[in-house]
Amino acid sequence: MWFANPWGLLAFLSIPTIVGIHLFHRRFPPLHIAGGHLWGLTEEIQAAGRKQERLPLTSTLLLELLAATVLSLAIAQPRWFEAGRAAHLVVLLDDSASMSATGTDGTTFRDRSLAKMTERVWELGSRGRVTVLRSGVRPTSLSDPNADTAEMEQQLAGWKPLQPKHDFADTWDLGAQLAGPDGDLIFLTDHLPADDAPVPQRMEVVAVGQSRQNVALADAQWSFDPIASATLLTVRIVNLGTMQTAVTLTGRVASSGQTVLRKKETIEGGRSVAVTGQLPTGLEELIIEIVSDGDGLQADNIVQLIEPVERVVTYAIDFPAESRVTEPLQRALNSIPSTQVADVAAADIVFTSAESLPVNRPAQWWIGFGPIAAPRPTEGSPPENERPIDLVGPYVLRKGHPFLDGVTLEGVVWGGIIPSGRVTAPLISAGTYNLFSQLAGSTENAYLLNIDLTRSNLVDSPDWPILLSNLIEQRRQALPGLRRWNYRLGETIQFAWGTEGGPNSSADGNTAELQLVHDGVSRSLPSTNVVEIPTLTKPGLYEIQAAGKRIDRFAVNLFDVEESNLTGLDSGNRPPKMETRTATALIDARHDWQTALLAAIALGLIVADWFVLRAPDRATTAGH
Amino acid sequence: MKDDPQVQRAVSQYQLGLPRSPVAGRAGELLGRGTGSSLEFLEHREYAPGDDVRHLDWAAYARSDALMVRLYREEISPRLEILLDASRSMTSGPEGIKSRLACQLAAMFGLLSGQTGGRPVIRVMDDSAKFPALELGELQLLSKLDFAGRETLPNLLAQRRFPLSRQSVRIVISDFLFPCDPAGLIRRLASDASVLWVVQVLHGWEADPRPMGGRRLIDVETRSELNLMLNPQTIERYRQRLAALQAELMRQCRRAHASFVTVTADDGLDRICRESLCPPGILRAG
Repeated sequence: MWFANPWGLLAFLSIPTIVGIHLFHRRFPPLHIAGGHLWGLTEEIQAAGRKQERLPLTSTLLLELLAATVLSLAIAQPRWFEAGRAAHLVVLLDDSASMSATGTDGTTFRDRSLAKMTERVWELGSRGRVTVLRSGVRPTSLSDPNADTAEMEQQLAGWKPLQPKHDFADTWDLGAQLAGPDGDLIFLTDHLPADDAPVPQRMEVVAVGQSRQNVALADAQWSFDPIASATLLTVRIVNLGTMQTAVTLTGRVASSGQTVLRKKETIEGGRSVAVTGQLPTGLEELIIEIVSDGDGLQADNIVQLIEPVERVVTYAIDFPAESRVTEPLQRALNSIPSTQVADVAAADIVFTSAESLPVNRPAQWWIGFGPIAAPRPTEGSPPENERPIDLVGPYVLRKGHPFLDGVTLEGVVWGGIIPSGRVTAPLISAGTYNLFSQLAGSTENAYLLNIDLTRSNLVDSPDWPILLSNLIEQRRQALPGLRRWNYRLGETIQFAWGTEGGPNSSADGNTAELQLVHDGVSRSLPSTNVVEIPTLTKPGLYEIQAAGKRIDRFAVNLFDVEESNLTGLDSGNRPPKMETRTATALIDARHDWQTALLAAIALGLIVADWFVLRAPDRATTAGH
Repeated sequence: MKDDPQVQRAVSQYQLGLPRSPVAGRAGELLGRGTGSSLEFLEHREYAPGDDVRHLDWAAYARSDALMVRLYREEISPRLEILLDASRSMTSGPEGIKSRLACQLAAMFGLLSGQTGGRPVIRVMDDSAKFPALELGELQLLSKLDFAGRETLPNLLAQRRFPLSRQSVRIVISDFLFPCDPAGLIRRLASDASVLWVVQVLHGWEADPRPMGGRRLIDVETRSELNLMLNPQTIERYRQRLAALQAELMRQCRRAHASFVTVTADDGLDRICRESLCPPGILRAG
């Protein structure tokens, strides 16, 4: 025997307390009589404590001692060896979207797996304990381990498997740890894992899936066309079955329900088609849905899209009018979409001479041309070590830098190089000369092109527009806000939370707290310059809020062809390779019949004691 | 109390067991010792001035030429005097069973006396003297007695706070559970009474106690306390003392030509009348 609440044993101190009370208390209850002289005085007993005498074992004393003992036991909650043992079942539920598919009988694989789980829970009996986990990149618990069957069913009622395809190994490992050496472990899925999968030895796999035809939305892109000042919607529909299927695609505006796109396509089995349509701006939110016969999974038939916003990069060319740099710069920048000329003070990126160093303004990128200003003699030729140098290569480009994506510098003569004593981080270098480098010490976004365009053919090479386009696009990505508004489940989402004078700073200079809100549930986001939103597992619309105001919003949809492919689903049962020892776990039940019984006995004893104590009082009026 | 069903039933079934020749009382239904106006002829005597001329025996005058007066037996109602002990000791017992029976007995004796034309007086032996004497028409006040007296019956008699009637039929209702000299008490009660009936009222546990373990006994009258183990030995001693008290009261009553009877309140009035009051002749079946 052991005690669930050993501190309750302190209640046994009530026993000597009761004995003491009986010893020192006037323990004779009063009895009102007439003719006291007939009872004499020779049998009078002095009150306890005046002299040492044996404690009479009255019924009251016995009842009170017994009640105290039973109550103390009830508080200490005694457990006999096997009384506190119950079977422990750990259920792992496949949370991938294919579990939401419907079988030919009309039931979803989710419902089938829950039915299987319910069977197992009933087999455990009332004392069984169940831990339910759902799979995912981060496995999570679906029900309270202490919940009874009814509570667990209530908690599981809201389970909607919608995750993209993911690895189950982490879930299996966690389940095996929770089950311990004695618990049962069962994995409910829609297909049996491969034979070489690292399935735990003691895990039973029950597959409830069924091969189905399915047509899915494999991708949906909604982009802004700055030339046409309209938006372009591109949807790819894939037939993941084996039979030709007629599909109807509709696109409607979420706010008004107006249908803006409707197309019918016939797709061969295993093939996909792309549907493209130009849509006007201002629709804000679009719902794309496909309908086909015999479709197995509804979750991949509908997506929500958020209208993209044109992210215009403003630039300023700050050269003297007679400069020969302005024209090739302007020509190349004109070919880059979603750019706009602005004042030097307001521009996102400034192209200027390197004669003067950039001001410290993190929100503005600075591209300097020519050598860094250095003290020179006012008359005469420059010193030998400051004479411009022309190079034809070879050039060393920093590998993988986004500015140099596509840049080769083949056949380029880099002219007018003047060595500079400033510390710079080279992006393009030749020998000891830094040709294109990032300035260090002043600002992170200041770059220096150590070149004299009049002595170089760079502006005539294909690398010139590529280099400028890379600069503009990188600047565009650094603009505050989301880079895109439509994502797929599991994709990493970044949100640029502006810096100098950006939207993250309130009027008093304090940084507002960012919140991510989905379906009325909000969670905090770190208020850094670039916010990386953790991997999302639920499709739908998400809002980014600061101080209760919406900053931006985006949509997350299930685009997972592998998960939408239901042809590989099957059913079956793979028993554990190794049986559990006892399939029981030591638990402490919340509702214990022994405690209840002891409490009832104690109550009965207290009531009996009350009646016994009350009897003498009644004698004063009832005549004994 | 006079409307009590048990009292009404007893009154309808019994009558007082009065002696054949009560000594005194107002004109009533019982024959007295003296001459009166009943129909029962007693004797002749010569006419004396002042005699009722309606009683002249004209036939005797014709025969003897002397005025003779016919004398008849007088008819009286006995003077009934009930001494009801209203001390606190009468409150012991379950739900005032003792005091209730005492009131029932007093009411019954009073009503039975009233049936014979008597004018009973109930003297409530209570030191508060709230209702010192109740007559036939005031029997309902018996139910208002609080039995809160602290003085014992002997003390009240010694203080002469209650004048006792001469030549009366005197009934004493008490538990006699107070320290006293039975000889002196009975002698005092019997003095100047033509008849004395003494009724001791106890309740069941007083008459026949049972062991109860340790108890703190509190005398309701004296408020004195004592802790006592109510074991068989203690109870036996109590019984012996009670029996000695009752025997002494009985002996003194016998010496005073009085009747002494002990009744147990738990038996109820009907059974008490039938089994306790009829055998000694206090009551007769009507």
